Amino acid sequence: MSGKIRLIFLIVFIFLEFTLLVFPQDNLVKLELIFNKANILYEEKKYSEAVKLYESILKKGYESGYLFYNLGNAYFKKGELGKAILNYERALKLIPLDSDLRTNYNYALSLIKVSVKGLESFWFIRFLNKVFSPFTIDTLTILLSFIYFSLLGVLTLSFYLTFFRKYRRVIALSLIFLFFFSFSGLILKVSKQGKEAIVIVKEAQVKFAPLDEATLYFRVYEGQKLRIISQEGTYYKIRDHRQKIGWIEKKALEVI
Amino acid sequence: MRQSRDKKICLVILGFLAFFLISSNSFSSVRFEISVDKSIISLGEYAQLNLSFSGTQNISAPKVEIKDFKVNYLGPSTQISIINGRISSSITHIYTIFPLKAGKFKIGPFIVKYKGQNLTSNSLEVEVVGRGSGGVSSAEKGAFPDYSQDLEERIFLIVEPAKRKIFVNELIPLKVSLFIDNLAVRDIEYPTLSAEGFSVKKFSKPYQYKKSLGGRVYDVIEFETFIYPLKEGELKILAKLNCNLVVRKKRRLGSFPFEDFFDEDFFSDFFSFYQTYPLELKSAEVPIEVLSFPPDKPQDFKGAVGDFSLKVEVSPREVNVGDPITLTMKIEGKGNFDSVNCPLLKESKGFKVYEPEVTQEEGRKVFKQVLIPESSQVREIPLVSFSFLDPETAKYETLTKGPFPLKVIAQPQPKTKVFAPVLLEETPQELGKDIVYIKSSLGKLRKKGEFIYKKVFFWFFNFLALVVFLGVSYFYKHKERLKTDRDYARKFSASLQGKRIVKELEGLYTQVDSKEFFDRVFKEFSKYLSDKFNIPQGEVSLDRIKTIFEDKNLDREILEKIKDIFQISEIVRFSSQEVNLEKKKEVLKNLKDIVVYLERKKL
Repeated sequence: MSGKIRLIFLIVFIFLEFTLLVFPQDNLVKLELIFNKANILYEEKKYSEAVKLYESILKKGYESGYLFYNLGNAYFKKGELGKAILNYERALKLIPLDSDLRTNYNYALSLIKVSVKGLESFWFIRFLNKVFSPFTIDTLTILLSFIYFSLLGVLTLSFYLTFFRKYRRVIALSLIFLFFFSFSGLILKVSKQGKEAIVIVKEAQVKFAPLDEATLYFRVYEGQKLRIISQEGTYYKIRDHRQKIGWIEKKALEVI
Repeated sequence: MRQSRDKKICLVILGFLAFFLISSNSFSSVRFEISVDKSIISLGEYAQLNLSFSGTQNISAPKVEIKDFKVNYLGPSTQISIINGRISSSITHIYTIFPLKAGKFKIGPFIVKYKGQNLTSNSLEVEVVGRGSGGVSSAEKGAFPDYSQDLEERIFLIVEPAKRKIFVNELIPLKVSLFIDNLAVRDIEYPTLSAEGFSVKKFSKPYQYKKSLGGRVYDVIEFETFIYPLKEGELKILAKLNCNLVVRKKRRLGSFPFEDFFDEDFFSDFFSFYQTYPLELKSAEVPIEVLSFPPDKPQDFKGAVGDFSLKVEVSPREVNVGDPITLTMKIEGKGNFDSVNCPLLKESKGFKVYEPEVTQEEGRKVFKQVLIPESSQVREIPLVSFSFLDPETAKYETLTKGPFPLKVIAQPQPKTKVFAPVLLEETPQELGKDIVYIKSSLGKLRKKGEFIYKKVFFWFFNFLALVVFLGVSYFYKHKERLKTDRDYARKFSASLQGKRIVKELEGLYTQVDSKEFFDRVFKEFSKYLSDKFNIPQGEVSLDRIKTIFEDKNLDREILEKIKDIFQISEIVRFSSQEVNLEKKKEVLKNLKDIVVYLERKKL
C-alpha cells in the first residue's frame, strides 16, 4: 500500500472515530432492552428490581445521563435519598442542562437534613463552578479546541486579510483569555473527578482520626456532599461545606 | 533486529534478577535489632535510634514510644547488598530521641508484628546526664541559659474546663493554655482535643499574656472553645498541641548537635545556626463528671440546657382558609443552642403544620413554622411551650406563649359552578411534592470514564492544526522576506538556480560544442556564485571567491574545483579548443559537488 493511500485510510479512520461513537449494534440493542425492561418495572412500582436492571447496564461499562437520572428516580422512590442524589449528581455531569434532572435534584436536596451544593470556600472557585455548571467535561474540551482553532485561524487570516491584521491583537488576546478561562474550568472539573462523594447512610460519624475508637468530631447526613482529601485503610479523609476536616468510614460514602 | 533481540534478553535477565531479589527477600529470615548512635546523652541533646530489619524491606515504621523521651520519626533507609552471590536486603527506620529527664534508661526490647509473627529486638541502656556533666566548659555554660531543668517544666499544656461537674448537653467554656518559659517556639498549631463523648466547637483566636507560676514568669498562649457532653458518666478530656522548638546549634562544638536553646540575643552569635525540633505536647487528662438529666422531665423537654427566653410572633392574624400563617419563635439566652429544638404547639388540630425553617446565630435560634388553617372554625393559634434545664439551679423551666387569636375567613363561594371545582382543586394542591417521571430512552450512551480529551484523535487534530499553522506562518514569512530582504532573495534564488543549472548542463553537454557548453557553464556558474555570495555579477572573480572562502573558512578542495572550472572555461571560450566528453563530465561533476557543498553550508 502506498504512503498516500495509507494516510487517507488513517485520516478516514480518525474522522470516523471523531464523529461516531461506534458501539456494536447488537450490544446497543441489548442495553436498550434492559433499559426498557427496567422502565416497565419502575412503572409497576418494583423499584428494587428496576434499580438492579439499571445498575446491570452500568456494570457492563456503559453510562448515560438518562440512565443515571432513571436510576436516581428509582432510588428516590425506594426511599434511598443518598443514592438518589448520588445518581442525580452523576447525571448532572453528563446532562447538566436537563430541566427534569435539575427539578428532581433540587427536590431531593430539599429533603435532606443538610442541604449544601458547594464545598468550595474560595470565591473564584465558586465563581468558576457557577459559570461552568452547564458544561460537561466533553463540551468544555470541544469549546477549548474551538477557541484554539479560532486563534490559529485568526492568526493565519491576519497574514492575508487587512481586517484581521488590524484587529489581530485584540481578537487574539480575547481568545487567549477565553482559552485560559475555559481551561481553568476544565481543570476544575477534571480535578473533581473521583474527589467528591455523597453520604449514602442516614447518618455517619466523622472522627478526628481514621480509627474505630477515635473521638467523634461531627456528624454528616444522608445526601450530603463531601470532598475526599485522602484515604487510609477503611477511612476517607473528608472536608465538608464548613471546611471541617475529619475521617469517615468508606462504607458511608459513595464517590460521584 | 539484533539490537532489539539483545534488549529483550537484557530485559528478561533483569526480570529474573528482580524476581530472584524479591523471592530471596521473602524467604530469608528476618532479624530485628535496635541501636543508638551514643549511649550517653546530655539533656538538650538528641540521639539517633535505629530500628534495623534485615532480611526484608516490607516493614513500615513502627510506632515508638519511650517513657521520658520525645520520639520523632525521621524516615527509612533501605539497603540491598550482594556479597559472594548472596543477596541481602534490609530497612532501617530512623528516629531521634530527645531526653526529658536525667538518669539511666532502658530502651527496648520492642516487639513488631511481621506476617503474623512477633519480631523482638534487643534492648539498650542509655544514660542521660545533666548539662554540667556533658563536658561543656563553664565559659560555654555562661553563654547559654542553664538547661539543667527538665523540658516538661519549661513548656507544657494545661486544659481548664470551666466546670468539672456538668449535665448532659450543658455548654461550658474550655481553655487550653500553652505555658512557655524562656524558650523559642514557633509554628504553634491549634490544639486538638481528645474528648470522647463531647461535642467540641471551633477554637477562637488565641491571646497571649504573661503569668507567674511557682516563682517563674511564663509566656502563656491561651486558646478558648466550648464543649458539651453527649452522654453521662465520668468522661475525660486531653489536649494535644504541635509546635516547633527552635534550638541553636554551635558550629564549634561539633559533638553537640543541640547546643542550646535560643536566648533573647540569639542573632548576636555569628557562629551559631538554628534547628527546629518538632514537639507534640500533651496535657494531663482532666476528668469531668457528666450528670444525667434530673427526674420529672416536662413533657415537652427535648434536651435543651441553658437559660433561655422565648418570643413568639404570628403573621398575619387574618387569613383565608388554606392561606399560610408564619409562626416565628425566637429563643434567646445563654446555653447550648445545638440542644434547642422547636417549641411545641399544644394543639395542632385544624391546622396543617409544616416542618420549621431554622436559623441559628450567636445567642439566638429562630424557628419559622408555617401553619395553614384548614377551616374557618379555627379561632386561635394554640399555646406554644418550650422547656429547658437550667444547669445553675438544676431545675426544669417551661416557657409558654399564646394562645394567639386568629381570624380565619371561609373561602368565598364561587359565582358559577363552572369555576368552583377548578379553584377549590387548585388551592390545596401540593406543588413540587414529587419527582419528574423517568426517561423513556437511554440517551447518548458512552463507555464509562470516556472523555474526548483522553482520545488520541483529539490531540492528533490539535497538533495537526498547529503544524499547519506553523507551515503557513513559515511560508508567509518566507514570501515576505523574499519581497523585502534582497540578500535573502538572492541566496534563495541561488539555491534554486544551482539545481537547475546542473540539470540543464547535464542535458546539454553531449549536444553542443565545447565553446558553447563552457560559455553556458561560465555564465550560469558566475550568476550562481554572485547570488550565493551576494556580490555583483561583474565582480565574480577567482580572487574574490578565494577571499570569501578564506573569510568563511570554507573547504579548500571546493575552491580548487571552482578554480578549475573557471580556468578551463576561460581556455575553451577564448581558444576555441575542443575538449573531450570526459573532461566535460568531470566539470559537471565538480559543478555538482560545488552546488551541493555550498547549499549544505547554508551561507
